[in-house]
Amino acid sequence: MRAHGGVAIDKDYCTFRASGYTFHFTAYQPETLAGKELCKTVPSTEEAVLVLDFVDEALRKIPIRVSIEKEQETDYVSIQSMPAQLYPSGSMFVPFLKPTEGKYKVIIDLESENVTEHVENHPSAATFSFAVSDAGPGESDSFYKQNSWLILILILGILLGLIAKKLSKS
Amino acid sequence: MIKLSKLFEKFLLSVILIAVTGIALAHGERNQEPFLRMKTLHWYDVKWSVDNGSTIQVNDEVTLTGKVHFFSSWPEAINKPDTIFLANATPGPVFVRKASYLNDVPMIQSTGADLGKTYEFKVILKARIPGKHHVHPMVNVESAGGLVGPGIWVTIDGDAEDFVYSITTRTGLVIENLGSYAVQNVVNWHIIWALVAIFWLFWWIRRPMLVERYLKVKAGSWNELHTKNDKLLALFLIGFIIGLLIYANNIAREEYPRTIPLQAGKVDVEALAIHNDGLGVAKALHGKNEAFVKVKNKKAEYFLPGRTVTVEADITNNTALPIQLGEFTAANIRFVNHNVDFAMKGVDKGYPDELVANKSLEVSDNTPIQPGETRTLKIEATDVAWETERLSSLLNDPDSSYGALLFFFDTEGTRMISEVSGQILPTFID
Repeated sequence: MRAHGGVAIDKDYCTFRASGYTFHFTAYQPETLAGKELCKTVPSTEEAVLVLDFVDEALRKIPIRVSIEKEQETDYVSIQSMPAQLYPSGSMFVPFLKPTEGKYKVIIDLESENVTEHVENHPSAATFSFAVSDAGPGESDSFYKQNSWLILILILGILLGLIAKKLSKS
Repeated sequence: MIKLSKLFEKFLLSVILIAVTGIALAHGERNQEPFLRMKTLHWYDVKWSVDNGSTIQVNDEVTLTGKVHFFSSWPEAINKPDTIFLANATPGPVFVRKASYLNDVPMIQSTGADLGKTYEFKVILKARIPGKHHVHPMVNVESAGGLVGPGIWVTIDGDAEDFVYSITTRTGLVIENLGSYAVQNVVNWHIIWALVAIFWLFWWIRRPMLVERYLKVKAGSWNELHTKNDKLLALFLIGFIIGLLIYANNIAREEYPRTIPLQAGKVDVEALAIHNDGLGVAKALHGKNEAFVKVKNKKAEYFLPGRTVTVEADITNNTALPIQLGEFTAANIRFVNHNVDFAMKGVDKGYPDELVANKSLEVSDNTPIQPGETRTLKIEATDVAWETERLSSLLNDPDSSYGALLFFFDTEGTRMISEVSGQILPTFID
């Protein structure tokens, strides 16, 4: 482990890589989930904002093409496309108005002659997949997340029961 | 049945333990809450004697210099910097800290710092263990922990075995290598005490230890637990150990007649005078005793999708010359106004790229603020660093507030530094 530590942005599961560089994807649904950072699953078809962070410093000097595709029957179809441009702040966002349920892909393509020099074996394009479901906020959470309060109370009850049993024995 | 129920109990407790605990991954500067990093120490003018990413050899020295400002709105959640210690943040003892100074006062001991004041620091390190290391200055604050400044990557090349740290003491004694000085003596004394301890341990464990002694305790036969020989040996060992200590103390005194005890006191360090930051002395506005720029926070927002912090503040120029806002710095991230040449000159070539925003600091009105004028400025600091440095989590902090330094430059290039802080709100509307 090197300096910094913690679950750094370049190490969490919302990152993907192209040509050896790291990208980070975040989706927000301000109306329903305020500032909660979403990633693989967007839990409702409410208006969303998609944000791409270009983690590596060098990416600020490389023109990047971004497109969003949606799965339709057997293939993915482009629904939004941004031409190659520089992002000096290291970040870009796309207002994602009224998404419909289904699987999506964010595709980034590095437009530079020099990008292959960074890591030769890595392609200069990369994809990040996410899904939009209409289950509503919280519906797609894991069983544990949905019922965590109940589980914690149950655990507390069992622990108290065990202690009471010990006390009554002694 | 009993065994099964015990097994079930253990299994259940293990499951509970796994269920309620998370994986502990956190440590390091990015893991500190943003309000800690933005409202405690602000490091600026930091310079390293080697370039970022450079390679040095074992025994080479690196000097860190710069200024550290103790923020006035220090967080309530942590102790005030009444007891602090200047250090370096590196991954373990890969460097030896040869010397450290705060305003030219040696920082062998701790000191206290005043809020709202600035201090000049210097830390001299000597490379010891090969590897690629991140090198930062750091101030340890009692009960609050280490508060880390900006860092660069330095690779140490060579062999750790070649490390030599020689000094000459004030008595003229030359120590060839402090790293190995008197190590054999330390080993010998450890062996002597370990032998005494092992002998004492074996004296007792050679006899039945648990069951027999337990039965005697239960029967109330305390006197049978030790024999006359045990008492005699205990008495002998008390005499032997105390005698050995007296002897050891005597030979140490003869060998090293002049020693300095570990110092428990604190030294006093006077803070830098306001604006005496090495970039000129600002002229005060006519009728004012002191030249300063007053900053009053009006509103601050974090535009999440755009990774932009927007601050609206009233700026009052209490200096004799027109001023412009040149830099906004928070949590070691620098946002520089590209329209102000004096500010651009302040960014050293080798300064870590990830700590300087590429995009210019956006200021709603870049025309110079005249002496005596108060103007409301909208300041926009945009960079992915708010996210990569994990500063955006300030929105979930118990103290959702920000703190930063604003660097103003007058027409002669004199720099004035003012604090700005306040509550900050998240927004999705630009």
